[in-house]
Amino acid sequence: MLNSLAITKKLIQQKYPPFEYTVFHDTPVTLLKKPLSECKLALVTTGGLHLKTDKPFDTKYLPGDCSYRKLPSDVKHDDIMVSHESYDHKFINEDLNCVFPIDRMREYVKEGKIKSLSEEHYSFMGHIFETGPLIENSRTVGKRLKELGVDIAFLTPT
Amino acid sequence: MARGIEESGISTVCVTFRRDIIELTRPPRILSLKFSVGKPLGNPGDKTTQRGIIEAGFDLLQRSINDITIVELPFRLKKFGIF
Repeated sequence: MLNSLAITKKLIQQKYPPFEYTVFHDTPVTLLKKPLSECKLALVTTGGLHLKTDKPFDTKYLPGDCSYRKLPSDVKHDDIMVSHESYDHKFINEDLNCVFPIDRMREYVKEGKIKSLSEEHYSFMGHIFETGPLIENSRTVGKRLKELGVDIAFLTPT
Repeated sequence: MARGIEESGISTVCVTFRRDIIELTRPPRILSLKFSVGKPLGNPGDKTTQRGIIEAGFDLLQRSINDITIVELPFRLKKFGIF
């Protein structure tokens, strides 16, 4: 019997030949160098979120839209929309924190568990079949977050 | 995604409900859940579960481990409408 990964891979290969999963054999690690209570945190999601005033992701481009959108730290649920079409939006429509836990992180800042939130958070699309540009863009976002003094990125899928 | 950010000198922690796929890309800190697409941190309004997942991430971030670490979290979804 095929496991779930093999089934997913087979289905994707039928639709997008010659798709192959991106595989890495190493793990880059940045260890936390200070206590959590002194850390600045950013959220990064692949939920396809963006500001209503921002350009939507391109959901028609089959290899996948590898671009990203910036979400300001004071973003409100009503400011956000989702252009990712590969998941049901009913949960995130009810509670943004299902995918983008900004309210929970604000609570942790108030409680002193973490020091602060980044001025910028970032959103990418999921369902990417050509991941080369995505890896480059994640480095660009990483450099930007580093410039902002971010210590931790909390990553959420959809 | 975590790779590029981690290479920039920022510590990452990833939430996933597809352990089979994320193991291929080997980010350093993984919180694995049995949740479904559209609600990786649980049901709408379930602050307890959301906080439980995030705090598991905080705990993982404070450990000095120089390789991939996967934590299977025990949270389960309570029934929420039709899904």
